[in-house]
Amino acid sequence: MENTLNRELIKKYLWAGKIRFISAVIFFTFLFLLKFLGGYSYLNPYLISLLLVEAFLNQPYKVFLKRVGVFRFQFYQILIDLIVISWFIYYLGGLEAKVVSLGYYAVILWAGFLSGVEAVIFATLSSALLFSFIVLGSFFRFLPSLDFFKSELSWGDTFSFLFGNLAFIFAFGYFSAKSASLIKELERQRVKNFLNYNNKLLVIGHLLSGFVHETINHLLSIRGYIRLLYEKYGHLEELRKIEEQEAKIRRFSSGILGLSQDSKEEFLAVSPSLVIEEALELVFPLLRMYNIKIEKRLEAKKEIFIKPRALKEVFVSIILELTEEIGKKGLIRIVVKDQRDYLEIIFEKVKKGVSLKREEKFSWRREDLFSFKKEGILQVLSQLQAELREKESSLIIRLKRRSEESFSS
Amino acid sequence: MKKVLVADDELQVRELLRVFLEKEGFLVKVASSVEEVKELLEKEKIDLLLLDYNLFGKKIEELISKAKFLNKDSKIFILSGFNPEILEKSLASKELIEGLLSKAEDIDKILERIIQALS
Repeated sequence: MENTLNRELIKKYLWAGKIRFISAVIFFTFLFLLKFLGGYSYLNPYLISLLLVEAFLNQPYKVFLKRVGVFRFQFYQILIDLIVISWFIYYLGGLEAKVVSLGYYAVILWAGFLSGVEAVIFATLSSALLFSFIVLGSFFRFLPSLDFFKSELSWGDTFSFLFGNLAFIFAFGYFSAKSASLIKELERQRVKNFLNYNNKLLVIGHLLSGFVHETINHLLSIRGYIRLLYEKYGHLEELRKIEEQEAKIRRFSSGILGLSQDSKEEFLAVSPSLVIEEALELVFPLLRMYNIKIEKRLEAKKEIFIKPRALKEVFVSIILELTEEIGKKGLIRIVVKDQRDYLEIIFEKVKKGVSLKREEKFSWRREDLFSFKKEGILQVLSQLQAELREKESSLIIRLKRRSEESFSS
Repeated sequence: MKKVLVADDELQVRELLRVFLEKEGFLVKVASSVEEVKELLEKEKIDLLLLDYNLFGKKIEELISKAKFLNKDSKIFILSGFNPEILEKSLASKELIEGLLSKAEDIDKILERIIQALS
């Protein structure tokens, strides 16, 4: 769980890094154009260095994260952002300084959105301190005058600039901290729901596995006694029928035990229609309980090369997901078609009732299911489920055939 | 006459396997607990052990070592209702056993493996 949160956080930082890079490049272009078109020459080695630091160095590179960890890294990043903004204000002075001071608000909001209350407090206090230091230092001249225009602000201008911005910085800090705690609370709730759901599944899984194991034990006895009865009474039709039923229950039970297991299963050429039939056989009791009908058109003739149990697990998961969404009474349409260069599998849910029927279709962009090899089935499944929830509709899976390049791996 | 020990907590399974194995001409001993198995191993020379995984749980490793220590030529099969592929992964002493048998298999196949191992 912690790894997942860390990964999420790193993803956010990478995203923030891209925004930082784009902002720095735009700012550089703006200053560059000012120099050559407008005649101003803000650009000097200090400014260029700072822009380069922001664009390239203030990024969540692995080498930094390895040394300080993602939670500490955010504070370094915020501090560097604020120092760069303060330097701009110090150097530019005048009207431009007021524009650049908007950067503080962006950092404070960003801290709330990305991290948490601690980061917001840190960003707010650091912004207030650095900003006050620059403005007061320039006004009382305890900092050397570097600003480009050598502009001098009056007493009134300086203190309205200072207190106005400080008031806004703290107001933004408060707003950002509130948003951060709200975001955190929502995330906590989401994780809690996810864990509850997982725990429930885990408990049901354990109970089911114990139950199926016992069933298989008893089936062995039934099989044995059928054999003994054959030997005693010859090949009775009734015994054959019992044997048939026993074989059905055994196949069903073994299928359940085989699900969600990380096995040494090999890639095999299988008919997708057959795998769907097997998946339906497994979920049939649930479908009957929910009064959900299945309409299937399994037209594909060609086989695909895949891990059959893994594919069956995906199909079971999709059907269960659709069943849960439909609730009571409905229809799931399953179509398996051979297209020219791919295999198309369509799952479509139809909920009976007033205006709830929805048949919107969307394509699953992941081109093939063979990426199981690289990403693991759970990841693919969770993505599938997330997409199903988001779109509340049917699902089309396209499988590339063996002859294609992506397949041969 | 080769001696086979069937250990399973389920009476019906034990008895059925006894009946079928006796028909194949083996002398069959049955046990329903870990203690019974240990006792039998110490008292008699067993040629083949058919152990239910569920009955022993983690103690199965210890029991395999003990059986091999007392009779290094004894053959051991583990019988289970769970998927044998999964069990195989969690079994440390899999080199010491002949194989894993699934209770979902046909009885003929189970008998065939036992006969093969003892022939």
